[in-house]
Amino acid sequence: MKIELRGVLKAYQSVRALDHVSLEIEPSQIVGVLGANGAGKSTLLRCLAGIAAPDKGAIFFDEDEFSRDRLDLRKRIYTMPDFPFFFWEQSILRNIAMILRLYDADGDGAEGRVVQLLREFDLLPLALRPVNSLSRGQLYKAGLAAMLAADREVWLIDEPFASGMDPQGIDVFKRYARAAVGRGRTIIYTTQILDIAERFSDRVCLLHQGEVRAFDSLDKLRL
Amino acid sequence: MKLHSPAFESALQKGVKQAVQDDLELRQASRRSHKRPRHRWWSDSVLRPLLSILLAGLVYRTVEVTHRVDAGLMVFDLWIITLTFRFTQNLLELPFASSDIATLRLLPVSDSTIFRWEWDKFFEASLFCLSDVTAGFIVLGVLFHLSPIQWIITLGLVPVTWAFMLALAALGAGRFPRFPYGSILGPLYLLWFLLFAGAQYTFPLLMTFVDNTAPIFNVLAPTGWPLCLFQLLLPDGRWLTGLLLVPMGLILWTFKDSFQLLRTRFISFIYYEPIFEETADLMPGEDSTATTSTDGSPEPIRRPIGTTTIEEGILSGQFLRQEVWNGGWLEGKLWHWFDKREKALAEFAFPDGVAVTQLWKGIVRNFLIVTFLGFGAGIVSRDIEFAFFAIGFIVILCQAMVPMLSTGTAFRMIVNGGLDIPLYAAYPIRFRDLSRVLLKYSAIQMPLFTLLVVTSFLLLTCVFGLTLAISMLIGINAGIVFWGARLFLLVFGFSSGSNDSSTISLRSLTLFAFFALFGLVFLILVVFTAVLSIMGSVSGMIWDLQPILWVGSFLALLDGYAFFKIYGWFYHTGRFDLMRQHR
Repeated sequence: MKIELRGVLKAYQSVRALDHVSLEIEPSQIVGVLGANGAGKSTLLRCLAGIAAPDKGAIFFDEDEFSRDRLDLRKRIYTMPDFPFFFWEQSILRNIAMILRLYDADGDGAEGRVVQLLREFDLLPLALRPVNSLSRGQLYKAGLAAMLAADREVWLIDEPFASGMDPQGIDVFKRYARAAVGRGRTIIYTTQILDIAERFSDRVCLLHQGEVRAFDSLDKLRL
Repeated sequence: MKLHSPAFESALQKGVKQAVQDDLELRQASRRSHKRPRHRWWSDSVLRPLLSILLAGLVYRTVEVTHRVDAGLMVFDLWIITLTFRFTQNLLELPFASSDIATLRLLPVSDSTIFRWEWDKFFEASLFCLSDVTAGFIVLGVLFHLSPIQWIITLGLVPVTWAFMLALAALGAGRFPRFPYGSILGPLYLLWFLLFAGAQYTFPLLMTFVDNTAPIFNVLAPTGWPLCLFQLLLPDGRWLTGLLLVPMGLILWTFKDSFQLLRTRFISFIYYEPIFEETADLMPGEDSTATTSTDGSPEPIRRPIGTTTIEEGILSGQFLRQEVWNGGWLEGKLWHWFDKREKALAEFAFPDGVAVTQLWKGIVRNFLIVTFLGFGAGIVSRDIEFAFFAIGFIVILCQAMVPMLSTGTAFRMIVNGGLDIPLYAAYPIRFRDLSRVLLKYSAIQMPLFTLLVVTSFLLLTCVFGLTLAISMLIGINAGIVFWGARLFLLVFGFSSGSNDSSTISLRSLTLFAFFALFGLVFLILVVFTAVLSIMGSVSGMIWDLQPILWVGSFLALLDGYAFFKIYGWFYHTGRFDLMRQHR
């Protein structure tokens, strides 16, 4: 799914979180959005998800202008905030089931995908536990499991590497993400860790005070 | 209470002020951040005294029209009831409402100190009602030409009334926390709005009600007891009223106990750590217990099952099968009414299912109790019967509003990066889809709600000589108007999770203008239809006025629908964010 931002401006009072951002993200790649605190990384993801509304400019998915009314487009995008949006008193499994139904992703093969993901994230023994009994890392893993089970075309992930996940969880996520890119998925994630962005991303978008300072592969950016 | 070192705070403040002064950007940010208290100043210094003046004006007119002190006291009492219920609701929310609590919990501060902190805030806020109480008594004093000594006593009643309100609120929150204070407050606010906004039409109705019920009402409602003491100062004052000092003293005496109870509840609420059952060992729907015999008595034991069983359970697809709502007849009908998408959204809004049938059984039970007791009271006095039916039906209608207007977890907020974001915003859920589910949820109960209103009026028919046709006419029209209100409330639900009105911009001002216009038109139509129904029934002209009543009700519905659609357009075209600053 091709993603395009055309002159997106998003301001909070006098602060421009996104300052006329224009980007073209081709499908089948992992894009790391890099920047300091307050650079506008999370705002960018929120605008793409429809949570935040741009003051100016527009967002296009496969040349279709995005709006909150476009359920067809919204079902192709999965947003994973830095704190997963779950029903806390419900079990991991129930939350995953509800999310899969919301995305119409509860068809054939969903059961196998869920079992495999829960096993790999080491969540199988906790599958029927309420979400609010989980640790921060486990919670994030559960969020990722829901996202990976839904397997949408665009993944918007906020700070996956500062989520409290253990190395095993991070490894599983990376592996699934790389495989998903091979299936044509587009993954946009935010991070402040240059080292990770360098090794994990196909392209890096460098944001500074709401402006795109660079958008290319790290190899090219180094030159 | 000191949570800090005053010397440290003073030094810190000085340092921060200096740093702000030295930096232009910080100075500008500081100026911006100081804008908010101005809004508070406006509400505290202008709007609050204005309310006191309005109350005083209403009490004045009541006494002027009826020439009866108890009529004025009853209007005053209705206001005190509203405030006391508000206080009670605040006390019930004390353990979790304030955003301070989360921060204070992280500090090395004892739980009782945190309670004290929250209590002090509640206490300070309650002082605002002193202006209302003072205004009410001053008006009564002026009207009845009190002597200087009587004035001193009257002003002495102000703190007594205020203390009594606090004691009642503490008692209510402590001993009767399940009473639906919040549900009753909504109609009470509406009542006051109708009284203030439609004074020309509603005032005569109020007078009719007050004339019939004032003496009984003031004695029956505990909030009226300190007000009744004013009558002792008048030449024809009934000295028996002085006996009210006894129950008043008893209630004031319970304050310490209620305070301790609230404190204990607050502490246990804060430090309540949820302990979850070992659900990981069980699949949904499986029996968690099996009986075994150790000492001859049956004892529940848990069957330990491992991840293999969980895995098999997941692979069976059981977890993906939605639980059908079949708790009762209404739930079953509602479930069949939903399409596949709506079922997924219904599960999102009500993950634990709904128990509408059960709630309505409770409403019918209470309705029968009120009816039975009302007719019983009629044997003693016609006035008591009237008061009983009027108050009883209002309470039952409020109770019916709870399941009718419920939105479940549809608008639940999640704190994320210092922002409150509604849960639905992160998922592919549209305004219109979620609204449709919630509207269907209300619609399935609509026949029962209409039946309740019709039956209430039908009973009043027996008591006050109206006809069945009039009861039905009013009941159905009330149902139509209710739909308009439902649409407005849905918009408020969505609005609560957005920043649509938190900044001043052309968009927010346009939206506000729409809200003001449609909201005002709706309220005018509500007042209009309510007044028309009641006046028409009383005067016997309801059939002549019938076409106007239908037009008024449908216009109210249309108005609500138009506003709903306009807000939906703003929502879908991204005119505001689905998040707001964390409160």
